[in-house]
Amino acid sequence: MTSDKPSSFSGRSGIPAAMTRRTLLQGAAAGAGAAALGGPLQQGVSAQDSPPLIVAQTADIETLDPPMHRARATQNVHQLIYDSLVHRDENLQMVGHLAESWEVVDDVTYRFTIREGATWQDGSPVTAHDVKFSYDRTLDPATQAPRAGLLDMVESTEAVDDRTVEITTKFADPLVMVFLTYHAIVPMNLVTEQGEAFFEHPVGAGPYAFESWQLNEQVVLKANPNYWDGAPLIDTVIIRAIPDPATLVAELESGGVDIVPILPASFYEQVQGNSDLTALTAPGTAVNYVGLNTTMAPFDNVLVRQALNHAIDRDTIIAALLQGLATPISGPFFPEVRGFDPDVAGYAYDVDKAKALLEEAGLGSGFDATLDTVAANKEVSEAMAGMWQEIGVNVTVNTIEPGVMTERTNSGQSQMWFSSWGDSSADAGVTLFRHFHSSQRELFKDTGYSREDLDQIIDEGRATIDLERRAEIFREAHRIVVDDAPWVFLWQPTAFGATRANVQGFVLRPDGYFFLHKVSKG
Amino acid sequence: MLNYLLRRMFLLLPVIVGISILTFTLIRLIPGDPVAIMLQDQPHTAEDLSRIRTQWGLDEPLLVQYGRYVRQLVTGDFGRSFMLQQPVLSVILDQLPATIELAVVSLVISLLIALPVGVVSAVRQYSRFDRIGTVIATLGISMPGFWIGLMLIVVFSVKLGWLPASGRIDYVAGLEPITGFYLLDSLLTGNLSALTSTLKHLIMPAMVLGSAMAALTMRMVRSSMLEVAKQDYVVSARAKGLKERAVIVHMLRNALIPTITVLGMQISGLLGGAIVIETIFAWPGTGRLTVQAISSRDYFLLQGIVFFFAITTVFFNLITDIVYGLVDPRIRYS
Repeated sequence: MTSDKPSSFSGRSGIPAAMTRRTLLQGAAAGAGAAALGGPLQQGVSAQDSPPLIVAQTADIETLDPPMHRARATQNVHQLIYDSLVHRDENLQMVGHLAESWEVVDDVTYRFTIREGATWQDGSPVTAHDVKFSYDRTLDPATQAPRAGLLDMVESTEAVDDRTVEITTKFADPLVMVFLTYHAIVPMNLVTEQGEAFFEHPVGAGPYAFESWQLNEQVVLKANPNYWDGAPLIDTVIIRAIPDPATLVAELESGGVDIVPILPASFYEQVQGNSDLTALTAPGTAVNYVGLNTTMAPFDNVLVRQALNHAIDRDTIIAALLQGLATPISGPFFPEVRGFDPDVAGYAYDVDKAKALLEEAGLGSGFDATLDTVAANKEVSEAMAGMWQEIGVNVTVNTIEPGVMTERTNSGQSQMWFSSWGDSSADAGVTLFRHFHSSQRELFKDTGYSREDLDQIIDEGRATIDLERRAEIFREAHRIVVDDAPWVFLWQPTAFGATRANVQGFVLRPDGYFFLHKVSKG
Repeated sequence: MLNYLLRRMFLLLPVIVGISILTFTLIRLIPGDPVAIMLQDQPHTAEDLSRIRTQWGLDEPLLVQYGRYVRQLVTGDFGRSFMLQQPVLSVILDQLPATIELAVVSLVISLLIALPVGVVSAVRQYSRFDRIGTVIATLGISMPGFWIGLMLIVVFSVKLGWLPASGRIDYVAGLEPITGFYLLDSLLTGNLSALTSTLKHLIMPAMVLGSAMAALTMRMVRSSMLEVAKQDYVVSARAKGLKERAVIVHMLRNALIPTITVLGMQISGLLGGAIVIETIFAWPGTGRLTVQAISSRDYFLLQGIVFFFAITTVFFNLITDIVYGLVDPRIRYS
């Protein structure tokens, strides 16, 4: 059952990221009348003054210790309890959180000023020493932190004074700030005093204070009235873990849950058609693609790869199977990514051209192939197999468990595989390096695709601080990758979430985080 | 009897060693690397991968890893879950009460259905009641639990709004857990709203599990009742004019022996966690934990769970054998 994840969180879907292009679309359901019908939680029996706000994710948190996990559902909750130095707003613009301002001293030095009045939930002030302690703790090999790798560009952190912290990086990298948003700050004194026990009942500087956690049941949080961005409007927040998406939607419909930040596209019509609910969408920060193993015949022939690209009718699949919740893409990036080239046309749906390309490759009579996919993407994969059949390519869909698929693609056993890739940094460097740079082939055999000239372009772009120049360099890489077609480039899934109609102030962010202190219930 | 018990206990030793080897190796035969799975969602490097592998001891030879596992097991240490960063045994024990509570209530429901229906179906064989019972039992065995579960949620939660769709209790009921068994805890603390909330959350998953079990148990009761009905002692009991009701009680005692075997198997299955039902109803038990351990390839957690429940199953088989002796005087242990 649990492998039936919606496509937006399947396979390799990474950190969904945000962008500015489109504004939030509100579903048809947001009626004031429905809101007046009032609160869910009809079973409520108790001593609470205001009913709690109930948010549900498909996974529970794994730990309360910030650097000790690599799970998105966990990070979402940590962000509410602890807060980070900086974060991005819903338009992906960098904003100060525990830092009120920062300056870039030189290519490798960043100086942050801690926000005046930022306090821990016990009332003591947040200081530069807490920041240094938190980063040092994450990077200390003795901590054995799975998150250390997300901070390894940091050479050192120094507390200049109580309110000034200076971070020196190992190399010039404009993405340093983005990486800092992934790291929660913890209170040095309390953690040093209490050790591991601190994380059983932690104290943070975020909008909500930790109250209790029962594994696979719920995390309960209480409003922190002294939060720097204003006291939360709702006293109690409950984060529930409900693994089955169909149950999630049933809970929303019956009023047991107020907010579900991420839902599979297949529930879109159901949510939209229910006047008690509000459907929310935002442009996603992932792309779906079919990887092609360029070390295996016939995928080693670029004409074959181009033919497979031309044979897919993306619009039809999006309309028929994804409830319209996706936008076709021309290459490996979605349009908001720095380095996306709008002049690249990509591969239009053209069966004749696809057949001609196969003919030219000497495979006019077609060939057989196997497409690996996970259960959540089975329908879409079968639809694509049907389209490839049109050009004589017989594709067998092989539905496997996500962990098995990771193993098969990493070790280069897969011929073709349906996958997704998310990148919240919205900078082409991350995707290009991970998927198309030869240095990664030891770790991820994947498509096996690389080129020396492309390596050079990627290296140059990643080392370029000037953002305009950086984008220009990456656009060249974009053109090369699209021409070589190591992927069948498919679409950018739209982020989709839902709330009860009486929920106000909830913003569906493209990067998948949720902040709840400005949310209220009518 | 004591001798028999001691001998059975002694025979458990090789079984336990076998289980430990099997769980250890089978889990590592599943394709998929736990570190790669953990890191797949975020940018990472080869150094990340090898560093974490070393930290978890996954880079050592399998024999060394197995040796450490056994050394830990002997001291009652199940190791540490890499997903949850907690000792495996405490995670299992934390999730166990929810599963036991659901199992017990499901079992009670199944017996309440299966015993009377099974007996009546046998006594009135081929009657309309028997035929309807057979059809319902066949449906109960063949309809998938996840489908019935979702249908119940749609009807009783979404359409009628009578029951909560998932979870174990409403937070607002304000239960202070003591034992982790919420029915018991709400009684102990005299919290009536917690008791109501717990029952409301229990009823749908317990009905799905209970009715599936009832279907099988009912067929078992029916067929063993029919079997004993042909035996001489039943005929003579009737011949000497015993009331039909008393005859049935005599029959039932013997008919229960095969039923107990089935029940014993069902209980140890339930304790391992009803994976599908716990997932559908977001029930915080061991079944869901197993799914999480598998999808993250959390070797220590998974081998801990499998080992724990393998031992539980062995233990329940022993109990079943002992209970035989209690219901059937022909069986003697020596």
